[in-house]
Parts: sequence; C-alpha cells; structure tokens
Amino acid sequence: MNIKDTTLIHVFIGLCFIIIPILCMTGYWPPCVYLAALVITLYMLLGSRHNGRVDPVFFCFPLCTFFLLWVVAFICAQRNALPFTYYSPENTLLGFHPSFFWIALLFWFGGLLILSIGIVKFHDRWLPPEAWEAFKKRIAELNDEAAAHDEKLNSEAAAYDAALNGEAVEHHEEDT
Amino acid sequence: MKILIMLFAVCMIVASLLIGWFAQRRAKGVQAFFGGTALFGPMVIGLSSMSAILSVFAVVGIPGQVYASGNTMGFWIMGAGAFCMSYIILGKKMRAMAELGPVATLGDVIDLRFGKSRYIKLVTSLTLFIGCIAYLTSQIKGVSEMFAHLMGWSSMTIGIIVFGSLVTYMVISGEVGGLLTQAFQGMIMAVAAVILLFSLYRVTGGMSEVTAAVIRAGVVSGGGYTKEMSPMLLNAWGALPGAVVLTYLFIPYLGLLGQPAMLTRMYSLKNPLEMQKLALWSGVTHFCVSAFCIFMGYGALYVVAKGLIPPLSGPDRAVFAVADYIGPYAQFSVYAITLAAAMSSSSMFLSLAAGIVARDIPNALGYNLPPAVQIRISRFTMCLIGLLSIYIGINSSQLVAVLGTFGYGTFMAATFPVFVIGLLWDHCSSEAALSGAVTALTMTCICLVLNQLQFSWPGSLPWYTVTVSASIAVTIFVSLFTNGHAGPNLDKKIRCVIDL
Repeated sequence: MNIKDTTLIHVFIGLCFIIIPILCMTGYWPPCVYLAALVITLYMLLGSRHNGRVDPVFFCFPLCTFFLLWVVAFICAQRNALPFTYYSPENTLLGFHPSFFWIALLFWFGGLLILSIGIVKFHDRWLPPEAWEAFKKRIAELNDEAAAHDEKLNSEAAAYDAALNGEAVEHHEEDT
Repeated sequence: MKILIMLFAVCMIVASLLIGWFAQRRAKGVQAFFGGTALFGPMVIGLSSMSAILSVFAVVGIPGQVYASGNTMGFWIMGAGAFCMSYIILGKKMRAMAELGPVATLGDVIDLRFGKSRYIKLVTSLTLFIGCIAYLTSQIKGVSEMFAHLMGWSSMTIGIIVFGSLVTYMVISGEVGGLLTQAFQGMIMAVAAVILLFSLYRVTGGMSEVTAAVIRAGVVSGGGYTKEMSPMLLNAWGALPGAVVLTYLFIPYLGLLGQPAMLTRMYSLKNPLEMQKLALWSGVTHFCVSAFCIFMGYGALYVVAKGLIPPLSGPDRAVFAVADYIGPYAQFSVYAITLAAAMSSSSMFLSLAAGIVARDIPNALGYNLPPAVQIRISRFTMCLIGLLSIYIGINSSQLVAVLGTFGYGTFMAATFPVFVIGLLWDHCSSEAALSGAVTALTMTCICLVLNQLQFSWPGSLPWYTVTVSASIAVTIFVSLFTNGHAGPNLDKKIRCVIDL
C-alpha cells in the first residue's frame, strides 16, 4: 500500500483538530469519539510507513482492527448508556453496567490486546531488521559524503589561502 | 502499621540511593548523564516509562474522581494501549534520531530535525521547563502532606527526607540512575497494584456486587457528609459533560506520545528491534496499575453504598478509605504505590528540567558549554530546583494550584508540533514548528489567566483541548505555506529517518 505524500492525511488531521473542539463546544460530542479513533489510527498509519509504503498485513492488523474495535466499543457504550441515564439497568454484563462493559472490554483491554499482539507478531513488518541495517548504512554513507565534502572544502580553502599568501609574498617582493 | 510503612519507605529510599550509586559508573558523558541514550533494554525502559507517566495524581486523584463522578476521569487512565500506539507512531523514528548525532536531550533532537533552530529550541524548552516545575511541586506537595498526616511529622521534614534523597541520587547518577530507579519503582507499583486488585475482589465479591450495591443505595449519609449514588456513576461516560468525556478519552491517549517520559525513553532503548518488548512491558504494567486506580474508585463507591464506611470528606480520600477498610496489607500497598509513583515522576522531571537549564537553554542562546561544565551545572541545578520545589510545594499552596494547571496537555501542546509532526511529515517546516510551539506557550499562558478568572469554555470543554488543537492545527497549516527545513530543503539524513 503506497502512501508517498502524506500532506492530505496531515491536512485532514489538522481539520479534525479544528472540528473536534468546535463540535464539543456546541454540544455535539458523540461524533467526536469516532473522529478521535480515526485520528489515532491515521497517526499509527503514518508511523508505520516505510519508504512511503505501509505493509498491507500491518494495515489490516492491528491498525484497521483497532479502529473497528473502538468504533464498536463506542457504539455499544452509547447504545447502552442512553436508556439507563436515570434508571438502573435490568441486566448487567459480567457484573458491569452494560455500557461500561464494552468500554472496559474493547476500548481499554481490547485496545491494549490488539496493538500488543500486532506489534509483537508483526514487528518485522513495522521495522524489518534489514531496513534498520540499511538505514544505519545509509547514514554512515551520508556522514562519509559530508566528511569528504568538508575535507574538499577545507583543502580548497587552504589552497586559496596559500595562493593569497603567495600573491602577497610576490607583491611584497615586488614592493621591496 | 505506621512503623511498617515507614520502614518500607526508608527501604525504598535506601534502595533507590544504592541503585543511583551503582548507576554512576555508567553515567559517563553527556549522552548518558542527560539521556541514558541507547543504554538500556526493554524491561528497564518499559517499567521506567510506565512509572514516570503515572504520577500521584493518577494513583490518588483518579480513584477519587471515579468515586465522585464515575468513569469520566477513568478514561484518562485507560490508556495502556497508548504505549503500543506511541511506539508504532514514533518509536523507530525517535530512536533513529540518536543515530544521526549526539542526542542527550529533547533539545538535541530539535537541533537535528530543524537545523539548530534556536527559537524552536528555546520556546519548547521553556514550555517543558514550566511543565516540569509544575509536576515536581505537585508531586512533592501530595506525598509530603500524605506522609506528614500519617506520621504526624511536618510536611517540610518529610519533603526534605524523601525528595532530598531523590535529589541526591539524581545528582550522583543523572538520568542513568533515574531510569534504573524508576524501573525499580515501576516494579513496586505493578506488584502492589496486583495485590490490591486481588484483595479488592476478595472484599467486594466483584463488579456484580459493586453494581448492585450502588444501584440500590440511593442517597447515603453519615459522618456529616452525603453521597448521592446514581446509575450515571456506573455507565461508560460517567456523570460529567460530554466534552469532558471526549477530552479525557482522546487527549491522554494520543497525548501519551507527547509526554517527555515517552519521548526521551524512545532513544534510551539500546536495540530498536526490541521495541515490541518495550511496548509489552510498559503496556501490561500500566494496565495493572490503571486497573487498580479505576477499581479502587469503584471499591470506594461499594464501601460507601453498603454503609461500611460513611461518605468521604473529599474524593482524594477514596483510595486510602478503601485501603483502611481492606486492612493493613492494603494500606501498606497503597502507601508503597503512592510513594513509588511520586518518586519516579519527580526524578524524571527533575532530570529533564536540569538538562534544559544546563544544556538546551544555554545552547539556544548561543553558548556551547563543554560537556563537563554542562554536567556540573546540571548537578547544581538539580539541587537548586529540588530545594526550591520542596519549598514551593510545601509552603505555597496557591502557586502549586496555579502551576498544577500546567501538565499533561501543556506537554502535548509543546511537543506534538516539534517531535510528532516534525518526524512524521517531511513538509513540516521550521517556521511551522516554531508557530506551533509559540501557540502552545502563548495559549497555555492565556488559558492560565482565564482559568484564574473562572472563565469556562462552552460545553465545559477543558482548556488544554483548545491549546493542543490550536498548536497542532497551526503547525500543519503553516507548513503548507512555508518550507524551512522541509520538502526540498529537508536534510538527507532526516529524510532517511522519516522514511524509516
């Protein structure tokens, strides 16, 4: 999956950070929880890019799975919170209030579980060992290039200084 | 019990001092002293990140807020998955920055990314410094008052004993000792949390009993206080306004990524290919401690709803009231967890603040001090900041309250534009990062004044949501029109990091 230029994603995230406070201030906060899940998933997408490419397996699991899990958690929590705002629920889920149960299970524990399994099982897709070695090699090459460039500049500067000194000596000799 | 708690506190302080003494051998050079750069394995870094993130506010404040208003504030701490998220987003890139040049502080990362931009470094460092002092004074105040109440000693005596020892081992061993002691304190927190969770289950009989008790209780009175129990306390969103729910759900989760305790630890990891183990260590231990925080809040609701204790005089009593009810070993565990949380967070902020004063700010002002001088200034600064924070924390409640409003959101607003957007997006320009950093600092100060004037944002939206959103949006949109150290002007090595 190629995502060479991430500008659009960043602009979308920027817009989300404008929309979310406005919606919250005007009382329309429930859609913001889905936007929040989307922003977090998009940041993970950006973080897992390697050379402009996201591994399709890593994209499906854990990234998309995490997003879907949170969406399901919020839908279930909201559905079960509204009817019992002022009345006690008739049935609990494993002893939990039916809305809190989904948040505890999917948002809290589920989020940890999916992302942990994802990064443990697919860490090679997120940061392949050969990519890390290639990165270190490339940085060493760039450092060598920079050192060679500096050396060249220094030698040119030295030659220039020497030439200037030579000219100065000649002028001095001519003058005397 | 008092003697047992005191003995434990003394043992923990002595063990921390010994770890600091042992660690000084490894604290050679500025990179080790200020950053512990590329020195430790995933277990040490994972436990130290978790313990540095969870402060006294988390272990005492969150159970109190759950008791007072249900799960709204619980979202703040349900962020165990955010550790994995943070490493996925920024882990490899932040660690890769340590391969480009000497990285000892966050200021060095700014230098590498934005071509030694003095202004970005200065503004970000100032914001981080204010946040550090704020956290430090509030930790000192919380723990000194708690132990002073328990022992019957003065807060100043407790503050000097506990935090004086902390300053001593940080001065000796710098961030190397800080990381190792935080890992030790993190282990204590996780073990104590598990013990408390089991004992809480044994006492309450599980969530079914808690839910049933709260539903049946209605209004409970006793000891001169009243507590109204309602189903709102048990549902997912709690009893606070929706804007507050959204803030506590979103900002702490994503904001974990912007906390200095996370960012600095990413480059302290020796082998970046072990980052998944780091995610596991920090995520799982955070889950244990966060479960303790939330269920202690529900435990407090249970014991009050059942009439086993009278309603609490204040929410911050929740965790201690439940521990007192459960018994001596729970009391012992709660004091252990609180002391460990305070010491770990404080040592991290002390070291960060000293690094800013000794290295980042002089460098941003154009002074390149020799490494040995930086370490000497840092040691002196740690002593000075430590003593000043003890004095302010204990003697100036009003100043601590004002500083206390700086915190999690301030750190996120200050670091997100520079580190997160800067390392994820090649078009993030130095002008944009500076605009974002200035927005964060300015808006934090404005909101601080508004806060003092009792100003309330529409929908009861917490002020830092506005600050964080503004700094991120400004950084992104200014980047679209500027290109300093971005796009075609991006350094080749930074492009390699962004593409990693």
